[in-house]
Amino acid sequence: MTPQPRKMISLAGLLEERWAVLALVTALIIVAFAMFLPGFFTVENWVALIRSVSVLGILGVGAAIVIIAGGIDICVVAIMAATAGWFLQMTQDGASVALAFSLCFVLALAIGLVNGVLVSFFEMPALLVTIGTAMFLSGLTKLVLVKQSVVYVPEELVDFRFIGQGYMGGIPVPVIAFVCFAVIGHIFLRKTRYGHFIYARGDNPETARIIGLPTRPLVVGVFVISALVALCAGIITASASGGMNINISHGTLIFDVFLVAVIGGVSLSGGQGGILGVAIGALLIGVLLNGMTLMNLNNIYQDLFKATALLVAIVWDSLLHPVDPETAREGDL
Amino acid sequence: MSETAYQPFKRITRSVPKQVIGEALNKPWADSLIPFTVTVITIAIFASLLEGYLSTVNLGSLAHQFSETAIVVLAMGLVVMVGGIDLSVGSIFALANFVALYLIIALEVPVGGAVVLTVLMGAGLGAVNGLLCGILRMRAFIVTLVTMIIFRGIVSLLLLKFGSELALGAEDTPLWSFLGYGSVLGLPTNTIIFLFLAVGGHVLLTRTRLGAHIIAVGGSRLAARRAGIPAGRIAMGVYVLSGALCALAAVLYASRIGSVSYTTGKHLEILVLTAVILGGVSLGGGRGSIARMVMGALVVMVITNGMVRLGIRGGVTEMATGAILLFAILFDVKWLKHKDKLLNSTFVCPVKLTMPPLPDLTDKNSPYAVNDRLRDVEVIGLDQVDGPEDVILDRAGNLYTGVRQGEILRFLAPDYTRREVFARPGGRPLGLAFDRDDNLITCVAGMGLYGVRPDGEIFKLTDQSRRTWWRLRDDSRILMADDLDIAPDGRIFFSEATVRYALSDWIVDGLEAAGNGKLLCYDPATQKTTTVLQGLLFANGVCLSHDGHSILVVESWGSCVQRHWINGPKKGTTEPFIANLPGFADNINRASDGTYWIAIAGIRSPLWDLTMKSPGFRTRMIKRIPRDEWIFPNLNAGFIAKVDETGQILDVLWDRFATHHPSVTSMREHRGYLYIGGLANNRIGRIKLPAADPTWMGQDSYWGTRPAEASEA
Repeated sequence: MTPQPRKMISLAGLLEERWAVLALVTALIIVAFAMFLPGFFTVENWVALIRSVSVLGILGVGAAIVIIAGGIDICVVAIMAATAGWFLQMTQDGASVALAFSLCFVLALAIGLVNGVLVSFFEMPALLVTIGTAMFLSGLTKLVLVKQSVVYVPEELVDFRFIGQGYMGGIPVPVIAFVCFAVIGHIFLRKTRYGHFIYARGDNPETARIIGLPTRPLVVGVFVISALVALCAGIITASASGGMNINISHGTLIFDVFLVAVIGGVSLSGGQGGILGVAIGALLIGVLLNGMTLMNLNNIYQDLFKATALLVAIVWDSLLHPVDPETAREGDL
Repeated sequence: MSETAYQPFKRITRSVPKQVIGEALNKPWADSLIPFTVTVITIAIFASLLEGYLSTVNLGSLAHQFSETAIVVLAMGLVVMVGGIDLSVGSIFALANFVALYLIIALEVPVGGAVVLTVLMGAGLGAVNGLLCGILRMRAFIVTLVTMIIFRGIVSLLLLKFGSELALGAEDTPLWSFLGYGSVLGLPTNTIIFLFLAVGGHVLLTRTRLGAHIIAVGGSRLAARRAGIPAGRIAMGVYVLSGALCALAAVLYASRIGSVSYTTGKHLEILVLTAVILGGVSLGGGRGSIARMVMGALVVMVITNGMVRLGIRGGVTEMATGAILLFAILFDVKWLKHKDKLLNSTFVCPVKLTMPPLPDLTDKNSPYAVNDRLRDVEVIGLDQVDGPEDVILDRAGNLYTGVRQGEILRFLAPDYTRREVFARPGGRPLGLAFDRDDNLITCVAGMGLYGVRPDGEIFKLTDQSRRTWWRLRDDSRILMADDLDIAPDGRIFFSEATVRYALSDWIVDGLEAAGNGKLLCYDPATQKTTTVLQGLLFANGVCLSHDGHSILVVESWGSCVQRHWINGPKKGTTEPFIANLPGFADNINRASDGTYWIAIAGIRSPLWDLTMKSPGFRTRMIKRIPRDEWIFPNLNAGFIAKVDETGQILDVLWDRFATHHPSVTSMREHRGYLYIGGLANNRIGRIKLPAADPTWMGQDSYWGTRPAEASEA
């Protein structure tokens, strides 16, 4: 589905939009939680809620762009851990913030380029490429970039904490960052030529190539964007939590990222969905997790619940859009 | 006449090593060569770095430690081969590990029952994946990612609730200990089970219908579906199998380790996937083998274990595995993409062939001097035949020909306007000959030597000859039977034009000119097929000499005809009959006056002779430019020559302006007429031979006259 002309707003038409259905579900859950969970519908809780999903949402924006272009990027959490960890390590060792950030930027750029070039020019499957680069990068991080598996923000970097812990006009900075990323991502995908190219590439790579789109540079660009988004998410995470545990690259964060994107209506076959859905998806996950935390549910239940929600979402998606065995694309995983 | 001595074997030998390489790459096991090399190199590196690495004790402990993972590699490999991916293997492994221990220790279920129950549970979990990915066709990656999290969540939950019950218990029944620590013939039990499963998997994939279906579904689900294979059910079955295998591996793990933890089987899917990809099992399905999965598993295990033994920090192992994975994928992708090109350029192995000087056709005094005597042929079956390679007539004068559609057509005497399908062998009938009992014996390209009874019933004579021992490519199946003739004792001599190319690619054999042709003999008395001559340069027309003592066989690319003695004092020897024709001769047949007709399908050019002189040039041409720009032997002549018993050219018939017969591949004399066929023609020609015996026919010449039947016509 490429961007469609603006429709007349009608309820039936709205219900065909994935994000609208999602928003409805989210609203119902919010209402239910507000009615039955004391302490849910308070300003403090909502600030905490949105703040808790802002990093996930930012990563979701990057993942959405890659997936819409027909790729997938498993590597983002490893990039996050590597760049943020290295950044903190360098500043601890006395490097200036500007120098440390520039080097991390170059590292993220390099990983993005490698991923993109391997996927587009060498025609290797994105899934496996990014699994490989993620393993490589996480090994590199442990071996070379950082000294311990947890790196803390140095005492003298007071201003750095502002990124993750500060407020602007009463709103936490990470939330503002999330909104910025979402808005920029939305405008990029829907209002710019390259955004439309990305949809075209994801929808049908062969056709996109034949009509003359620069599909290979496009894919490289998409992976670079994803890597840079991961860098920003890493910096925010490090600032917000006062350090970076590089073992998050072995955790389930990456699955949460896909959860947000897929629940938000970004189809893994590419070319479908948008940032609006991702934002609502992130909100839904945030509400669910927050509600469950308020209900004192164990982390294990939260994981189970998230996964089941994702399973329901994709089963629902496949029932709404059943695959025609005669026209399905071959070899998709 | 003999400018060059006949040396068939010398011509072959030059190309043997190259041919072997090209044919090796075509074998199914060629894909395994790279993983095999990588495996050997990896093991060699660690064996040289670590003392005692290859000792029996160490190998035994390695096998004991890694057999469970290897079983999970098989599970993942099978799923990848059917075109899916199963990221939930690690979680199923963990869940099965817990369930097995819980059943045995907490619920005190007998070991046998617990094993069965656990494996069934694994199959059930696999069925969930299979239902979603196989039947509902959801994307395997995301579905198994989710089930991985869910199954892992269930494990964590169970550990939280019941983990304490397992903390102190232990099981030490003999069966359980045997599973964990027993050994048979020096091999640990789990290794024995793994080997058993690997062999079973190999048999499944290569020897059973189900295995063929699995590979078909993986190769192209759509094509498999259209061929009537229940693709969804097959895929689901493989997921179920994967789940069961993971559970079985977990049972072995449980019996060996005997404890549960939150980290059991974590990241197993990445390790296992790396092994599968390293083994060259293609993501996307359809390509791979059990042997390759095992090799991939070996490499990964040797690297991870070896790095630990070397005391290298964790980061290096991860970096190395990641880099190896990337290289393996890169190689796999590029190999798949360029394999066909590589095969094409290595399969064709041109050989130097020095041709004698080209006879000058423009010289008025040349025996081949061009005339236009085929201009006024009568045309039979215009646009009703597609490529009548050979033509023959029965005693009643009916005309038979084999066409591209895989049929033998019959045009009825006397006016040849009525056409009927006489027989439909399926492959393309080339050479035709009648035997003593009026059965029509035919060489069917792609099938072998067949016969057709007068009532149209088809019977097989032979489709196999002896395999050449040094050829990797199985050449025992007769790929391109071309022409035949029948000796008075009933032995059928027939030519196999080339053993390396099928009819669709026959002309490429001309670029190779490596002597791939054979003269074969089928003896109806013993029903055996023997090789009479080999190393022929496209063995084509075959004709029994008038005295019945020798066989004349045409070598098209050699532009020559050989005489092989089958009776008489020179029996078993071969000598040149005609050494230097101006073009590529095709069929040779008897003429009424004790001479022979030879069809020449195309004329050599100086350029072609030069091309044949330089195998390097031909190799570069095949590698570098598209096929439609290659220099091929041209089929460009409507040309029939008449030669006497000594090989002297007596007469020539040309279709100078290619009006009716741009190329002639066969001709048959019958009752004073010459019938003309051509491989690419849309008609059969007939021309009156003024000087010929108007009563002569092939059958009489071979089998004697039969006046009663002749008069019936």
